[in-house]
Amino acid sequence: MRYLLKILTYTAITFATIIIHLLVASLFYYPFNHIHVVYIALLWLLLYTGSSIALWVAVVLSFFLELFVTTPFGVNTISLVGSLMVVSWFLLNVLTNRSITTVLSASLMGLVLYRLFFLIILSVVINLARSQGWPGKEMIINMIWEILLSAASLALIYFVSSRFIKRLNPAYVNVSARPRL
Amino acid sequence: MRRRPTNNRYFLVGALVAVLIFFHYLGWLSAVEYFTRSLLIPVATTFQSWRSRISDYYLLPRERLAVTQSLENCRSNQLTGQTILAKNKILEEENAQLKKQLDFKRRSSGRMVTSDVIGANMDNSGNTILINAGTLLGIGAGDPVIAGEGVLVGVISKVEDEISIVRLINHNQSKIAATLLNRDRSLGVVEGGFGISVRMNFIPRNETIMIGDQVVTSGLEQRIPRGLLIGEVAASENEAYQPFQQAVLTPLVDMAKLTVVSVLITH
Repeated sequence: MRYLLKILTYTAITFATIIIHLLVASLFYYPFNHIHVVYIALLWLLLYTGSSIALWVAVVLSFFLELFVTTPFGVNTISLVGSLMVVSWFLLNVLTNRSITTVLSASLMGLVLYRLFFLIILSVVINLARSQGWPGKEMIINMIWEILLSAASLALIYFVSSRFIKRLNPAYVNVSARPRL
Repeated sequence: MRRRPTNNRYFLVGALVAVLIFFHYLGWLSAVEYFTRSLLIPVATTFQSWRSRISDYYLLPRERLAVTQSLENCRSNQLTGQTILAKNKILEEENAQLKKQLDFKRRSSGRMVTSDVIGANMDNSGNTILINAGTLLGIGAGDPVIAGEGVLVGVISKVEDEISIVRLINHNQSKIAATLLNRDRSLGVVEGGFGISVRMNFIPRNETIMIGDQVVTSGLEQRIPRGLLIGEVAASENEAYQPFQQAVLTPLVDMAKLTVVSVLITH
């Protein structure tokens, strides 16, 4: 029953994330429509849970995203999940402190890696398929907007949520981690 | 306790991704993809319709402003174009007139001053024009004024240093000695005061006037040389109770549309 509830919760989160992503992409105006809600949600989940569940959700979410993109199937999934794996490893082994700086740097790193992986894989696919479709200057500009705005949004969300969620507040983490004498 | 991602888990996630991609290209995920799309497409469509409505609501004033601005620019450009076109037409007409006058100047022996018409009927007293040439250029009162290829349009009635007033041939005080180019070479006086037309008086009754006969200056006046064209006969009046017959003349140039004239310096 507990597992079923958990699965239902994560399914709801997944659908809610996709719907918010579509909402932002459809209703917001340039450049705010480039805010990557899915990536923000996944990073937030990674920060909040600190577990591998974010990676499993990432696979499902990227699969959903693949249904609405024009790039060959898999390019988006591999780059998204791959970059999230790298960020996850960094958050567990290097950026272990939880602060707004950590969140900002992790999100920037993740998004840059995501788009870097995306471009590399896309170029490989294009070369293999010998097809046209290399993103132009405009797409690169959009990616830069996406990285900057998404990272800023996540930092803002973290800043606000850390006021209400103890788990995200480093002050509580330090108190709880203090050894009892 | 929460499960931290380990190398094993990274491998499993990677494997799941690979399996998903593999299955997709095999077509085994078609049903799932179709189901997911059918769930999400209505949502996306709804958002898109909201976007259209929001666009209409928020962007309409801005777009209206842009359209108004464009319209104003177009109107301004059109006005500028029309102004240029009008200037061009005026210049063409002036050029044609100047060419004619230059041609006349080559043929005539006397001195000529060409000037622009800068005003008309300034004093409302009759048909007069103002030209921008005066005594400084040698113009004197009584000098004949011509347009085109030697068509007499008037006589200088008043002259200042830099401007002159021309009394046109249809002015009510204008009287010019003229000759009809008919068989008899009839002499008479061309008088104004009859609207846009002029009349030639004092033509002997026994001389024949034909419609279309040309009338030129007779040269009997001291300041006006012979042979300047005045107009053509449009009608003749030969009444039994009058000692002379009359001819109604049509001037060869439109007095209201003079832009460039030349003054023959004859004094």
